[in-house]
Amino acid sequence: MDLTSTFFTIALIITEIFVVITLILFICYLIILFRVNKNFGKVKK
Amino acid sequence: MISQILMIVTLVSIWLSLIMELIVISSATLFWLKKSQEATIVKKLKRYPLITIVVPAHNEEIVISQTVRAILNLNYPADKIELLLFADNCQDDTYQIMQQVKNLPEYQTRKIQLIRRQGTGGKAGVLNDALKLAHGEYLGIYDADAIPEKNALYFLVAKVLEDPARQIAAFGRNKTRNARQNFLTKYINQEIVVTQRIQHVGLWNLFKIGRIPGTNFIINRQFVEKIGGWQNGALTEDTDISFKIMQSGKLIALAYNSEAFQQEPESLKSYYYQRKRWAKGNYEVVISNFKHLFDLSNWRVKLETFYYVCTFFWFNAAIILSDFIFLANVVFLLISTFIPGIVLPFTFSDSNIYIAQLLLFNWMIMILLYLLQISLAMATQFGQMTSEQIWLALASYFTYTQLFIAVSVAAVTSVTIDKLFHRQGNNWVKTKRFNN
Repeated sequence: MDLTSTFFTIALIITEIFVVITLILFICYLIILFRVNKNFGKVKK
Repeated sequence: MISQILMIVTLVSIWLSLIMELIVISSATLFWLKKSQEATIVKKLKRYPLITIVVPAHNEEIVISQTVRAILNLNYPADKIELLLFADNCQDDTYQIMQQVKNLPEYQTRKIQLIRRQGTGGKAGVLNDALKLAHGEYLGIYDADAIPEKNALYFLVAKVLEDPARQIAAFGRNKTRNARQNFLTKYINQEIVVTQRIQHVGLWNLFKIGRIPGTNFIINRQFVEKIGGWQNGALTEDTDISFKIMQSGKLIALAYNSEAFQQEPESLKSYYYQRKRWAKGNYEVVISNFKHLFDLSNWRVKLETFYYVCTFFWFNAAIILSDFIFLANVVFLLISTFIPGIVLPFTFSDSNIYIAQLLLFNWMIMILLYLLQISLAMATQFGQMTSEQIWLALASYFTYTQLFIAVSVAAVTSVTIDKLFHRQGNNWVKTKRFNN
């Protein structure tokens, strides 16, 4: 395995990790967006 | 070989910025997952420290009246607010308007002092003058165009009182009050919301790092006196003092629900001068703090310096280089239509086509993250996440964000000329106000 292909394999794994984290963040974003919360943005005294 | 090294450097640059973004967005996401379920509660504070609110105003006749009234109507005991209104080198009716508001019957019992100032030093100069007059335990700063929401000061004070010995200052956020004026203000609104709801929140939640903004913050008066006040004539006195606070090991706490409404530039010219001033100020602060990357400074200072160095130097240089490569290829492509046989200067060959594909894929993740952070930031503001915002965000990636590159190139050039020829380049260009 030469240097280029080693680097490519590592790069591919790192990119896949980024994709997974981005997907998780997207799901969290949907949860925040659709969370029906009547308290959101309101002030209680 | 050279092209492969270049590609690896490019890929590492993209990764580093992706990692930094992912860390900050993840931290902000965790914060908002928790906070989106909580109600905001305004209950009586244990104590109400005296706050000296300072309003530096330089030719602000259009906006000053509304701001002063909003400050005087804050949800905070009236006898615990001391208001210092500075008409700084004004050639318009700012002072007279301040006087009119002060003379209103409802404000007769309030502690209001009007100061007609002719000194130098810009906003930092005003704040240093205010330091000599102030009696408050904390100084609160509001720009002349920043209208605080009724509970803005309450949330700031509540935040510092959580740990007054360590949290020496607290800062809120500024919403764009002319966000729907035109395309520019819509873009600026998105940028500001992302900065405050993702960057500020993410950094505070994970590292307890805060940044003093230009307006809507309070800071312990004795502490400011101890560090010698604000740096006179500094273009971004806020960034400068933020570094000093972090250096001392104290914290700038985020009061995420303290809000003020501020006007943003409505014309490209006004935007250019404001952002150039900010960029120049930030470059100067980064250059002067660069040494802290290698000494025994507070780790927060190191992290902030690293962040600023990456953003302002490394990533900016990478974007400029990428724009240059793109434009060069476009020019050669146009020439090749008239002179066949001309080869494009920057292309991928068979040997590195996989890395090229990977680069493209990473770039796509970058765009997705860009859209995601805007969407997430907008979702945290009740009713702001609309489909229009997504289209705007997509358009801004290829238009508005490129504007900042022009600004940063101009700022770097200006800072370099200042340093080389010992030019006094710190001319404060005031942001133009609009009557809307």
